[in-house]
Formats: sequence, C-alpha cells, structure tokens
Amino acid sequence: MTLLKNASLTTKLSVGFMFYSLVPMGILGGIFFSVAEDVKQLQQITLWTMGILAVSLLVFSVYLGRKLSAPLRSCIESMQAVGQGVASGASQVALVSNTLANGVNQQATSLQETSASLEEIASMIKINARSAHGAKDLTGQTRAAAEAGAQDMENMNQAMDAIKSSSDNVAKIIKTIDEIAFQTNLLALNAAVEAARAGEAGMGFAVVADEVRNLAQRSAQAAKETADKIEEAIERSTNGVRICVKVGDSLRGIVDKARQVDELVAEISNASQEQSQGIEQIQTAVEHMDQVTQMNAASLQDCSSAAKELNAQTDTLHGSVLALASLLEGRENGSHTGSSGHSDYSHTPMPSGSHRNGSHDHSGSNGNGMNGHRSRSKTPEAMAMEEAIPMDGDFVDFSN
Amino acid sequence: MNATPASSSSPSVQQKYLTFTLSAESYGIPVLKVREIIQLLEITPVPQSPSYMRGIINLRGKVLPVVDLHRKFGLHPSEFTEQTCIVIVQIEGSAPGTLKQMGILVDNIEEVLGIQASQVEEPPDFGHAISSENLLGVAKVQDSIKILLDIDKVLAG
Repeated sequence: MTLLKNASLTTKLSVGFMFYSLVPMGILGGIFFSVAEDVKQLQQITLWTMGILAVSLLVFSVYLGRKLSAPLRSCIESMQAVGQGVASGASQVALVSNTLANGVNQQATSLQETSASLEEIASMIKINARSAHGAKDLTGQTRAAAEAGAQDMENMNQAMDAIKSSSDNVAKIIKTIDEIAFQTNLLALNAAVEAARAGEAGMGFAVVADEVRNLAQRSAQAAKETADKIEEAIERSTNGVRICVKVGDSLRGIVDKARQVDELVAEISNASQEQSQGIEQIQTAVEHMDQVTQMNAASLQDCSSAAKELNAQTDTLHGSVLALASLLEGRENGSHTGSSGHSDYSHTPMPSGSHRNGSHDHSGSNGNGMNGHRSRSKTPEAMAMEEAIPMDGDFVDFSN
Repeated sequence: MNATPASSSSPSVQQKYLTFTLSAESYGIPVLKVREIIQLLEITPVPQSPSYMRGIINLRGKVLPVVDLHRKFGLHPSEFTEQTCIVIVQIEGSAPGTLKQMGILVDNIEEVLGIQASQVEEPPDFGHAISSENLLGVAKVQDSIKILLDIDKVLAG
C-alpha cells in the first residue's frame, strides 16, 4: 500500500513537475511553433517525458533501497542481539535477586529465632543473677549466724570454766568437811579409848563415843560421796569445756567455709551481671542485623523492580526494532517477493513480562501477525522470568 | 594389867583393841596401852638414831619419840596421807615399874574393837616378817584377820 501510495505520489509529483516545467516549454514551443503545433503532440511529448521520468525515479528508488537495506539490516540485527542480551541480563538479575530475597528471608527468620533465643537466655541469666544475689544474701546471713555461734561458743566456754571453778570451790568445802569428819572420828576414838580405860564406869561413855564416831564416819562417807559427785561434775564440766573447744573449732571452720561460699557466690553474681550486659549487647547487635536485613530486602525489591523496568525497556526496544525491521522487510518484500527469510527475530524469545506499557501500537499498522508470535512464544527463559518476577494484576495479555 | 595376854582370861570376856592398818594389813593393840590418838604432827628427825626412829614430836610441851612401824617391821615404806595418825602408847620403861610414852606411826586408824578370847589364836611360827614373840595372837574378825601386837615387846627392841 505504501508503495502504491508512493507511486501515485510520485506520479503527482511528476505531473506537477512536468506541469511546472513544461508549461514554460509549451509557451516556448508555442513561441517556436507559434500555436500551430497540435495539442495532441504536446500531450504525447508530455506522456513520454512523464514515462521516462517515472521509470528513472523507480529505478533510482530501487537502487537506493538496495543500497540502504544491507547496513540497516545489520544494524537491526545488532540491536536485536543487544536487546536479547539486555533481556537475558535483566532476567538473570531478577533470578539472582529472587535467590537473594530467599536468602534474606531465611536470614530474617534465623535472626528472629536468634532474637527469641537471646531473649530466653537473657531472662534465664537474669533469673540466675537474682538467684545468685539471693544466695549471696543467704550465705551472708549464714556467715553472720556462724560467727554469732562462735561468739556464743566463747561465752559458753567461759560459763563452763566458771562451773569448773565453782565445782573446785565446792570440792574444797567438801575437803574441809572431810577433815572435820576425820578429826571428829579421832576424837571419838580417843573418847572410846578413855571410856575403855574407865572400865565399867566408862561403859555409857563408850556408847556415846561410838555414836559420835558413827556420825563422824557417816559424815566422812557423805563427804566422800559428795566429793565423788563433785569429782564427776568436774570431770563432766572439763569434758564439756573440751567439747566446747571442738564445737568452737567446727564453728570457725563453718565460718571460714561460709566466707569462701560467700566470695564464690559474689563472683557468680558478678559474672551473671556481666553475662546479662553481654547478652544485652548481643541483642542490640542482632537488632541492628535485623534492620540491615530489612534494608537488604528493600534494596532487593528495588533491584527486582529495576530489572522489571529494564525488561520493559528492552521490550520497547524490541518493538522499535521490529517496526524498523518490518519496514525494511516490507520494502524488500515489495521488490523481492518470496525472500522473507529474515523474520527469525520475530521468533526470538522475548520477555513478555513488560508488555503492559503498550509500546507496540506502531506494529499493528503493518499487520504482520507478529503480536501473536511474540505473546505466544514463551521460551523457558521467559517462563523463568515470570516465575522470578510475579506479574501484576493489571497485566494485559496480548495473546489474542 | 601387865604383859599377860588377854587370852589367858575366860573365853567369854572380851578385850578391847585399837585396830589400825599398816600397808593394807590390819593390826590391833590393847586399848589400855593407848594414851591418845593424834593427827600427824611435824616430826623432827634425831641424828644418829635407828632408821625406824622417825624423830621426835612436841605434844603439848612433852617431847615424845615416834617410831615408824613400817621400818620396824621391814614393810614397804608408805607416804604420809591425810589418814596417817600417830598413836601415843604407854609402855614399860627400861627400868622396871616405870612407864614411858612413845608415838607410833600408823597408816589409818580403824576402830576400838572388842574381841572375844575365842576369836584369838596362837601366832604361827612362820610366814611373817614379824617374829612371833612380838605377837599376842591372831584375831579372826568376820572374814579378815587382825594381828594383835605385844606393843611392849615391839618397842623394846
């Protein structure tokens, strides 16, 4: 059609040209042949001239078309190749950003788990620290109690010593009683001797002396028993003092151990505190990592949309190239019918993900049926592309 | 009331003896020979006297010799205890008819004991450090034995 249009246009132009160039010639002819010339002759001449001019123009245009078509084709092919390269690069970028997005997602999940674990650990450490603090208080109390016990033990030792000295005093008194009993016994014996010397007259006196002696002996016996008891008491109090000393030693040992436990628990408490602080730092770091991961995810989204945009741009480029190619091909089809072997790029895999910008209006005028080819030919690469970049809801399918 | 032993009188008659102990042995002397029983006093040794002569004491202004019966009898010498006493005895003097007082050291005074003549036996000839001529006899009191000393003869030698 374009060609026909062009031909009529050329004719019109030729006629105009003829008209404007032959009118003066006619006038000139008229001047030369002075109106005697026949109009038919003039028309014949005009037709001939027109025919010659048209043929020469046609030849010229074909020549020009042939001359230009080769570099244009190579240019279109290289543009096509570049477009394909960019499209595949964009799909690769989309793929990589998808993988990266998966990784970042996993990272984010792991970070959340880590954060949760850290919170648990932190709470456990806090409980530990609290327990250690409580244990420290308790050991402090234990230590104080043991020290008080040791002090009481000292007092008890003194009390035992006092008991011992009291027993000693009682023993002295008993000894005095014993001596008195002994002397009374001697006196009674002397009285008995005197009574015996007195013979019959001393019989009553002898009885009295015997009674006195009995009393003295009972006193002595009682004093002896008391002395035994006192001795036993002294022995027991001595034993008590010994036990007191041992208990005091044990209490001192307990005090020492309690002090050691106190120190150890204090160390544990400090360590727990430091652990708590460390965990807080780790938590801060993990929060920071989380933020960074989220930023990464956002960047990846940007990257993905950039890849989409690139794809769309590539598509636009492809459309333009196709238009150019069809233009060229149409010319060649006009001149060389049957040589349409250069439509291979219409079958090239074109990413169909970015058709929504409607940049293919110009290709509709040619009516080559390219649209159908393009939208249906979803090569594996394009499929991968679709998987990588999910299509939006407003996607316009060009398949019809 | 001279040196005649008590066993010479009738069996029903009981003699009184002062009993005491020396090295766990029990001895008795007739109570009429005893003047006094005193606690241990300070004994002043007398030079060049026999070893059994412990020394002299001052008893209320009277100076009396004290004999250690342990040494006299060749028994184990024992230490003085709180029970140790001095028995002042009245014995015949060197000149006949005179009396003299002496102290004897005993470990412990037991009692004034009445012993029946039937309880007293003749001293055996053997088995003891003391020669039997110094003894009045051997008294059986319950399950124990008390050696009855002739204190005049003991202190005469």
